[in-house]
Amino acid sequence: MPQDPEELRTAALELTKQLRQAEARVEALEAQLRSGPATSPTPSRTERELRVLAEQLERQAMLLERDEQVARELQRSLQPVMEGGSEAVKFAIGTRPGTRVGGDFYDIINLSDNFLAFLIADVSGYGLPAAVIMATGRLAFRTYATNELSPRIIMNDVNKALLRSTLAGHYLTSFLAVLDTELLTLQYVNASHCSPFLIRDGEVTPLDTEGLFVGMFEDPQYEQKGMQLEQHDRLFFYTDGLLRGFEGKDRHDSQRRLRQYLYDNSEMGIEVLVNHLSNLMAEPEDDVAIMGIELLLEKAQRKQIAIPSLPRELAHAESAILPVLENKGYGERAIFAVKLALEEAVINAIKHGNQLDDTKRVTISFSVDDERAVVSVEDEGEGFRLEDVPDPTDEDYLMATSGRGLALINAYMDEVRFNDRGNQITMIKYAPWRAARHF
Amino acid sequence: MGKDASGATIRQEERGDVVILHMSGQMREMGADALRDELDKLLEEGHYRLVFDLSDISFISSVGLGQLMRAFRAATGNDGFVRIVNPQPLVEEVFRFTKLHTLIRIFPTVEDAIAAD
Repeated sequence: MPQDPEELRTAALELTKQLRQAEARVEALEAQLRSGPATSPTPSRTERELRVLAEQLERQAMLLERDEQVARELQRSLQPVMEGGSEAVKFAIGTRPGTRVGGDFYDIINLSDNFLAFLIADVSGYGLPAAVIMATGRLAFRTYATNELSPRIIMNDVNKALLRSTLAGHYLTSFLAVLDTELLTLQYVNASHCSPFLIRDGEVTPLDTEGLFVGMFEDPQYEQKGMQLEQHDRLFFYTDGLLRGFEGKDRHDSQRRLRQYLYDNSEMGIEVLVNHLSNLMAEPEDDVAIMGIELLLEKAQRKQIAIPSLPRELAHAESAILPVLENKGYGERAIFAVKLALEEAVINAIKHGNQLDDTKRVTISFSVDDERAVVSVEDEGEGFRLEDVPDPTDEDYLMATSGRGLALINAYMDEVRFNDRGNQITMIKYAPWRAARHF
Repeated sequence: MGKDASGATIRQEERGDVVILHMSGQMREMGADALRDELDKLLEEGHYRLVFDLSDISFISSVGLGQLMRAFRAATGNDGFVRIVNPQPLVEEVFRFTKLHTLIRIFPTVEDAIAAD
C-alpha cells in the first residue's frame, strides 16, 4: 500500500476507474441474466440451442463470480497491513470475510508526532459498489486527516467528499477517534456506527455521539466528544457483522450481549479478546471487522500547580509557566499568547467556575517541549456549555464590558479543548518553528 | 514607570477639555481595581473626553479591554469620546481580534487623537 498521499490518490483513481468498468459489466451481466430466460425460450427450441444458452449462462455466472472476487481482492488490498502497534498503543485486528462482500474497513493513521487516528467504517450494500465506496471513503479519510486533528472536521470533510462522489444512494457508517498520545485525551465522532466500547478496570462503556451517516446529507450535524484516557485502557471497535454472533431480539439487544461478553472477558488482553471474537464468527454472512487498541503509554509527566480561587494567585501560575517558554526560546509573540490565554482561563475558572470561593482550587498543569506548549486549567465548578457563550465580536455583544476571555483564548492558541463536564480547558500553542507545519 | 509590574500606572495630563492618560505597565486582572477607581473618579468629575496613550502598555487582557469599554460607554453616553494612541503591535492585535478597533479609534500620536473630529 503506497503511503504517499499523492501516490495513494493516483492509485485510487486508477482503481476507481477499473472498478467503474467492472461495475458496469456486472450490471450488464445481471440484466442479461435476468432477461435471458424470459426472452429466449421458444417452443421450437432445439436441444443444441438449449445447450448453447446453458453454456452462456454458465460463462456469465463465472464472470460474475470473478467480479465478486475482484471486489474481495480490492477489499483485501485496501486493508492496511498492521501488526503489533507502536510505542503508544498496541493493537489487534480481526477480519472475517462474509459470504457476500461488504464494505467494512478500518485504519490507524499517524496524524503527527503526537496524534493517532482510529477509524472503523461500514459501507451500505454489497459487492463491487460497496468496494468502490470503501476505496473512496478510505482515501477521503486519509486525505482529510493529513492536515486536521479534529475528528468532527475530518468527518464533515469526508461527508462532503462522498456527497460529491458519483455512486448515489450509497453511504457509510463510521466512527473516528483521535488520540493525543501525550495527554492521552481522545476526541471522537460517531457517524451512526455501532458504538465502540471503552474497557477500563472491568467497566465497559459505549462511546457514542450524535450525527448521521456519511455521504447522504448536506449537514449531518456531527457532535464531537472528548475524554481522558488512562494507561491500559482498551478500545474496542467493530462492524455490525459481529452483532450477528450475538443474536439478540434486536440490534440493541445484540449490542447489549456483546457488551456483556466484553464485561465477562474484560481480563483478557486485547489480542486474545480480538482473536476469540473473530474465531466465534467462523463463517459470517456479513463481513466482520474488529479492531482492538490498548494504551501502553502513561500520560506524559506534567507539572502541576494548584491555587486558591483568588485572582492575585494568577501570578503564581504565570511565574511557573512563562519562564519555561522563554528558556525554550518560544519568543515574544508566543509568550504573549500563552500569557493572555492563561490569564483568561484562570480568571474564568476563579470567577465563573469556582464563583470566587477561595476554599475551591484551580489546578493548572502544563508541559512545554520543542513541539508545543500545553496548558490545562481546571476548576471545581459544574462546568459550562460552549454553546451558551455568545460571540463577543457579534454586534449585539461588541459593547459589552466583559465576556471576551474565551474568544481571546481561541484567537491566540492553536488548539483549544474542553472535557465533557466543561470544567477543564486544555490549550495548546505550537512552538513558533513548528507552527507552519500544522497548516 | 510604576513599581507594580502586574498592573498599570497612570499619569494624567489635561489639554483643554481633553484628559490624556499616559498608561504604563499592563492592563489586566492584577491592578484592575486601582485603574477602575481612577477611571470612575475621572468620569464622576465629568471628564468624558479621554485619550489613552498606550505607548508603554506591554500587555492587555479582556479585563483591560473591559475597563476601556466601561469608559467608552460612559463617555459616548455623555457626548464624549475614548481614543487610543500608539499601542504596541501585540497590544493593537488584541483590539483587532476582538473587533474593538471598530468602536474605539486608534491614533498614532496624542496630537492626532485630540485634533480628530
